[in-house]
Amino acid sequence: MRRASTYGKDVAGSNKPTMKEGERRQSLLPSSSSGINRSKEQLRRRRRSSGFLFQQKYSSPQTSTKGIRVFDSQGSDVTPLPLVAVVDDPDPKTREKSSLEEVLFKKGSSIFKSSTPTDVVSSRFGSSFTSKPTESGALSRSSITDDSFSLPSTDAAYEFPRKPVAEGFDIILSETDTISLLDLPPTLVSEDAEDADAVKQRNRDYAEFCSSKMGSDNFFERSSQTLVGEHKCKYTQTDTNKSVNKGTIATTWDIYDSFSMSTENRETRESERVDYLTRTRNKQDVSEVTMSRETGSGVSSAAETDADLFMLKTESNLEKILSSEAFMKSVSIMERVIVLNIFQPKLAAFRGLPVLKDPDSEVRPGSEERITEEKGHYLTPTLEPLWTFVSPLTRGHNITCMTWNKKNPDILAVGYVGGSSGNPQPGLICCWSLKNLVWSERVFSCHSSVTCLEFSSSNPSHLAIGMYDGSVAIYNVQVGDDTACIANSRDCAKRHTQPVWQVTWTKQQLQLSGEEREEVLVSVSGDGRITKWLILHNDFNCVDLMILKRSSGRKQSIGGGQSKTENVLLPLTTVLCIDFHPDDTGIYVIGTWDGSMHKCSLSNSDHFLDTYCKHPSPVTHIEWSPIYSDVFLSTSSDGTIQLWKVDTLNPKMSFTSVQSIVDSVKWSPNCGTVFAAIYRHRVEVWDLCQSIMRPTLVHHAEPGVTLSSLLFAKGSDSILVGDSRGEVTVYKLKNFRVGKPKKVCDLYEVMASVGGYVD
Amino acid sequence: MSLRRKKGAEVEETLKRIQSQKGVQGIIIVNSEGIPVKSTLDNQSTVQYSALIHQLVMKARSTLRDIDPQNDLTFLRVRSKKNEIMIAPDKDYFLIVIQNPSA
Repeated sequence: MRRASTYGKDVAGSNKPTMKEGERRQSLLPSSSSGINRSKEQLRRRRRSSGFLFQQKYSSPQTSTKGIRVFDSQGSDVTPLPLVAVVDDPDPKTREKSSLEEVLFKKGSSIFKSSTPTDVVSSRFGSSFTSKPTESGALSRSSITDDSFSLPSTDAAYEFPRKPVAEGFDIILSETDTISLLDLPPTLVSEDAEDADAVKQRNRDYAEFCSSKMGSDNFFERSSQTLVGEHKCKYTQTDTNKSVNKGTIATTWDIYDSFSMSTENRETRESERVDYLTRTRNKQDVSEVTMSRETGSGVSSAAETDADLFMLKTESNLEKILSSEAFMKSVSIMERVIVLNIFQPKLAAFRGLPVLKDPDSEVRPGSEERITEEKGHYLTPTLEPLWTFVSPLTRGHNITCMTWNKKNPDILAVGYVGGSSGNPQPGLICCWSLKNLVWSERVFSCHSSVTCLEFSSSNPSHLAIGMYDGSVAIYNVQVGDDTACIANSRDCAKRHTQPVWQVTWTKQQLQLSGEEREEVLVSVSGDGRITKWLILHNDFNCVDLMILKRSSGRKQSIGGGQSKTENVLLPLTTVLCIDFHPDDTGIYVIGTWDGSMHKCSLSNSDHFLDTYCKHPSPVTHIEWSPIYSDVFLSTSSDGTIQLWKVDTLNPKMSFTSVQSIVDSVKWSPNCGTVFAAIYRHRVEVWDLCQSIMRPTLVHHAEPGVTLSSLLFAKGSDSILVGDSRGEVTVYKLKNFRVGKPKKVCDLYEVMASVGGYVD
Repeated sequence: MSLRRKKGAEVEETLKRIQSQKGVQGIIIVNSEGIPVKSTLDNQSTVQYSALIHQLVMKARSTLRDIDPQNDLTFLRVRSKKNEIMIAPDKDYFLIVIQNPSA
């Protein structure tokens, strides 16, 4: 006999398929000796079933209601058990037993009418879990059949020990501990306590109260219902509060601008309104125009007009920009900048600055060879061409004269012959600036060829020109258009009738004050007159300083006095050049057609002070040395250059190189012993320190080109040469002083060293 | 010819001369809103240049005027390895010229 005493074992023992157990039990039934034994089994199983959910295998058709199996995560079958077990075997015995067992199993709680939770569930949801209808009433009890008992079965292999029924075994019942749900121990008060009486009285009162409460009229039970306020949902909708971040930077200039605008606002408001009105009117006109164009095109017209308006707006914008003054200025500045970029090395050479190689430019192999070539010839003084002032307007016009501006040494005025010489066509004056080497800043056209020009020093923007037809004019070069001509002697009664060969500005002493120097314009012309021009009350008038008449043989001025026989109407001699003494502006020297040069004085209009005769042919140019104030040079058509000292009537030195007409000779403003002479086809630069017999530098013109004008550049080692093509070429004197020690060479020393000349 | 038209013709001539100078790669005129109104470059480059240079000029001008509000920017040159960008700014327009003087 086996004593199944432990709970656990019981559990293990129950893992059996229902069928078998049920069968066995059924089989057991008839053979079972004690129903109690079986009931104990049932008891055991019930106990188990109260704690576990057992798996059930519904293999028998009688028990299977649904083929649903539920497995938990461990894989054990947790299929819910049927609540109402099918009664297969309506054995009255079992039924009795079951009810007995139930009575036995009651744990004192009256709530559970059935002993197992499954019974409770089955009483409620009875039919849903059982296949067969069960009896009502004692349904719960009677329905606990073998099936319910057979429910707790798991897959465990442990099987109920198959023992012969006859053996029997003991089942021991034991009571579980009492489970106390609520424990309110009473408060105990001792009889001897002070307030024991009070407590007793209170207890009695309470007991009375409780007993009286039941039937008393004071209390009656009544129920009432409170109104629970019904919630009502009310919805409303608002716009979300949008937040916008706005920031600004108050820069210094912004503040300044706003402040200055607010102060000007009143003044400009009117004009702005007017502008706005005109602008809107314009816009309206524009839009009207576009509308009229687009009528009939329908829907697309709107978009088109928009596009048109935009195009028109940008176009008008462009026109407005292009026609504005500021734009013109910007464009001209831009042009200068670009040109300076291109010509930067040339200008650097001109100014005597070291020419820096552009670090980003690629060195081409050809240029390198050139550099080495130049190094080989470095001892020979040459003229290195830097650039050329030429423009389409001036091409082909012979250049007659060039001059620098007195105040701004970057401005060059060049006079051109219109057409071929001898043909009186409108001449041209161009003002070039060193800042723009490709286009002249100013272009003026004159009614006749320009023969000479010079800038004034007191009014630096006044340019005096002398023309081939004898007119003298003054232009204001600040003005760019046709109103530049301030004065023109075309209508003057006493104007020159012959070409004006030279104009010059000279400062004259005011008679009254004596300190102030007023500048006057003096011109010499082919009609033998040396005239002083004045502008008085918009009237351009002249005063003759001197009239030169050709003397027959005797080199004396004609004037009143000595012999009346000499007062014959002799033809006037052409005065070709004039130059004022740099210091004593009352003295000037003129050169005439017949080769004689006269020193004259402004105060004496009749007599010459001195006469210098050396040249057999017309004296083309006279120039005082800017550094030595009593030395001057003269050139003539005979190809010689003479160096004179003021007080000696014979030239101190004479220079000859080529039998050719010397058009002009100029002293170098930088060095006292250097001068340059221009022949028709060559330029010669003489440096008296180096040699007095030969020119130091000779430069030949290109074939077919006649060199006609020469100018030194102050502060720079450069020469400007104008030629018959209308081009002014700027040359740099290269290697001019190479090889010689830096000895300060004095012209007087040179002259003294020559000796030989007899005063 | 009226004075205005004469000036306009002068401006056109000068622009043509600039275009024909050695190394000039392009000219762009931009209005005050940053829209290019005239250009000799292709469209994409024009738009790129005008937008970027607009910003640069604004920054440069702002810098100068922050230091001294009475001052103003008159010319801006940006020299780079390959070329030089010259900008003439004004209230109403920018004139931009790109040149490579060694080419």
